[in-house]
Amino acid sequence: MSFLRYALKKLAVMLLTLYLIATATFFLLAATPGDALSARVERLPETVTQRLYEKYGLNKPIMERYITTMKGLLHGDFGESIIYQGETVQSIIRQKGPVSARLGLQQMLLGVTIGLLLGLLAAVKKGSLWDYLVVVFSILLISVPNLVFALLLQQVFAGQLRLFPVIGWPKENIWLGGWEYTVLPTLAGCFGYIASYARLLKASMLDVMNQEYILTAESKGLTHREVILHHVLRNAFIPIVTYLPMSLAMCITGSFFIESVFSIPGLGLYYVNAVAAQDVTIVMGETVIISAIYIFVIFITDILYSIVDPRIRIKGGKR
Amino acid sequence: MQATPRYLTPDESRRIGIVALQSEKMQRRTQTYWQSAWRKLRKNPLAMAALFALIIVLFFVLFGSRISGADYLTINARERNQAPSAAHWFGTDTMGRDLFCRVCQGAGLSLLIALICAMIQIVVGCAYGGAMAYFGGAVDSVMMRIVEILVSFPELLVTLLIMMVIGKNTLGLLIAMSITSWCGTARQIRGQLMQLRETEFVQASQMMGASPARVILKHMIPNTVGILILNLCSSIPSYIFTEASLSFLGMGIGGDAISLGVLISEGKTKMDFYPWQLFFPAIVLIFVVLAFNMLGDGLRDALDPRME
Amino acid sequence: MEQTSDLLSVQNLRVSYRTYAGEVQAVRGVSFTVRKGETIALVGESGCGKSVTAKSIMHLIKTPPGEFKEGSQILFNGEDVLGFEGRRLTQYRGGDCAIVFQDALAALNPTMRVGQQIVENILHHSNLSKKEAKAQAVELLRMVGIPQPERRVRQYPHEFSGGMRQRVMIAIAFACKPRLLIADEPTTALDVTIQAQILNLIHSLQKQNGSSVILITHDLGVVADLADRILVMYAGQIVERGQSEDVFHHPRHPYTVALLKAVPRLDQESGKRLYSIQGTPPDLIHPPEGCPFASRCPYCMEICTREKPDVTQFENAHEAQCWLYALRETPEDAPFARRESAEEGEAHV
Repeated sequence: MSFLRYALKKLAVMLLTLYLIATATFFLLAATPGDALSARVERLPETVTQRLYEKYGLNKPIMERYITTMKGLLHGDFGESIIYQGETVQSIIRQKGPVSARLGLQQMLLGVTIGLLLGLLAAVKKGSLWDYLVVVFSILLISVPNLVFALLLQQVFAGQLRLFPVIGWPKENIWLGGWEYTVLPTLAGCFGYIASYARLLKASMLDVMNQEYILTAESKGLTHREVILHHVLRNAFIPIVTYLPMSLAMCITGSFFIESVFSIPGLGLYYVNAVAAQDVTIVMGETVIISAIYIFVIFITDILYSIVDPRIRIKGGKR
Repeated sequence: MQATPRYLTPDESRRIGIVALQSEKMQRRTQTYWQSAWRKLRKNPLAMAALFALIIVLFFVLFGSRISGADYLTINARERNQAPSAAHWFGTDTMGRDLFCRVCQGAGLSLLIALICAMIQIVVGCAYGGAMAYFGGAVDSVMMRIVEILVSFPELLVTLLIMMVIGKNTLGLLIAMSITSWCGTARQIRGQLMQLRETEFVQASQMMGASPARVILKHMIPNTVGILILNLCSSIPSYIFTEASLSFLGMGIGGDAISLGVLISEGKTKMDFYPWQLFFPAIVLIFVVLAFNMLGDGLRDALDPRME
Repeated sequence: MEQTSDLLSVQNLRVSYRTYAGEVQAVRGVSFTVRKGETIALVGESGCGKSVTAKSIMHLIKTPPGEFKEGSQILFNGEDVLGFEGRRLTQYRGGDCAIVFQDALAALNPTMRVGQQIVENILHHSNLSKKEAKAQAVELLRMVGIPQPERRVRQYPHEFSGGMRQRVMIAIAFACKPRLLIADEPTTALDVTIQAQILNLIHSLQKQNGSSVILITHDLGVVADLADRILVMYAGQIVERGQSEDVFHHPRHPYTVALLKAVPRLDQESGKRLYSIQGTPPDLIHPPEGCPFASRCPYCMEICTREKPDVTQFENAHEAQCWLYALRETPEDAPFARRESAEEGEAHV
């Protein structure tokens, strides 16, 4: 079956891409001036320094290190953190992953829901005051960086009104507990989703409404509501459905800046710190894992697209 | 049936045959594409306001420090953390430097970085996309694969890694931010050019013996400029954002150079006591990005020939 | 057949569209009637207002950007269509009056099974259960000549061939036995061999249901033997109308003459170039003062560019709007003079 071959080919390209990303990351890190240990070993005696370098293999020639790293990757062994002793990439992902995932999912759930509702409103009431308000509102939202939103919310609702904690994240019951910590970071991150999904759905719906089959539907005597529900939305959701996985991939990789503002112990913040400290193993591991998620989602999107749009199952491309 | 039968005079019934052929109509249409785009843009109040706002920002960036009579580096220990006043319109920072001048300076650098990145994106994207469309075949598919691999690299991770390698300076920032951003433009240009090559008007003009230069000049460029302008308008805000965010994380430009991101990051530390130190750079950043977004929105409508 | 009962009466229909460039007067005072069981052909080039007229009859014009001008009236069985709202409008569309569009691929919802697209029409206009409606959809597909209808109802439009898709459109249109069918260039997108099949299908379904048909086309050759009457439209106006044979064999308006010459014919000398009308139709933002065809008319006279011609009546309700048939002070110089009897056509001028 051609579909299976298509999927297998995509899978092969996926693995190749991942390999290239790992390689690129490795050499970029190797090319960075200085290394993670230089700060730590400054005041240590020569012999200790030597031992440390040996422990992390930083004294070996670059190609040898490359091969060791790649072999490790194959077995899912990313190595030990240079800065935080005893921590491995897996343990960090296990700790920080759920934090970033919860934050991202909450932002997305809230943002996408509101965004789609606004987009629907704007498209159905096209040309009205509502439409105009949604357009202005969404341009306004995408023009304010997450970062500024985060600072603003923190200042007003936590700093002045004292309704929510200024910083922090629930330590127990990581998926459901401590909602008061999550309100502001969630709000700060959801605006981008609202704006982009409102615009996406509106544009997509208007595009569909201009199609001739909508005229056919109207000529059958369907009411406006029926036309919107059965014909417009169904087709207008195709781009939305294919866009969602991308959002999902990006939301899990963490909202770096929001995590930084609210001191949330998530993957994003950790990654930035690891890069700054040149914690080679952690950066390597996180890059590969995040990229893998990212690439996998692109792969899923392709597959999903062919399921949502029956036309693509037969031939490639539109029509 | 007619009430009063009308008699045509010989003059009236003089035969004149086909009056005018109304030729040259097609040519007139291609000329009026830009005119009509401009006309539509002018009728869009939001877009015009945005254009006006950008001109004002540009004016302050260029002449701001001269107008306020201060400069952005002079440290004045007696005027630290002052609230906005007639002497210091945006107040002063922790070292007594005039915030208005600093914001003008920072906005200038932010805009400059964003513009350069956007230009790199467009030039590289055009060259790469053009090459893909021009060579086609195996070359095209290999180049396309490269693009696909590059875009699978999460953008922020690449940016951070490159910043580490090259160092926290303006050059590093420029390279880091534009290292994968041109991929989208290249794809769009390739798609557009390939689509154009198949269109009837290009094939017709080729069949009529138009030289490749003429085809490129008359058809390819006018039909891709729209995409490029939109690209420019939508990528500038994202560069401004990225720059600000990186600076905020301490991964942006270093040294004495100031950008809006640096100012926001400085302002954040004094947010509780001197909120204006955060407020002014942030508001200017939002203002600039908003203007670009509104202009981009207006341009999108104006350049879309279907939006009659 | 009741000769006097008009099913549809369009009076002084004027439709304009607002655009950035100005107001496009797409339809400029069109009047005609359709009797029960009759087939009317509306003929003209693209952009002459045929489709806008068709959509107006279905009340499918979006306002804005479209606008019905003061005095426009469409009566269906005596009822004012343009005044229809709510329930009455949705009953009228699809129930009383149905439309078949030119490009069936664009006119069918790509993500909905063909059967469902027929079923939703049936459900909307009857009290049938879902199951009964499904069975009826299968019957309809069988009726329009689609093999294996039980299997085909579950397929998507892109799985059908062009001709089959147009049959599906016809099945949708006839699902509720409309009294008026508008076929908007139903065969233009199809191969010549399939065109005749589709037109015959429409014709036989029309006979079965006793419906009236408005057949819209740019090809006079297609409609000659199907239509009872022909209306020729140009630049938003009807320039000639009459019984099908009269218009076809004795065209009066130079535009009709030109249209007929532009139809490819088998008996044409080989090597002879197909006739085409020079120039382009007038800009309907600023319609010309005189006859709209003046700038392209080989018989154009001085008066034609200045004043709108009156309607000249010929026998058998044949009419044309052209100055050539006006009386002249000096009849001898008339190249295309008015004849009192129609023993000779002007097809060969």
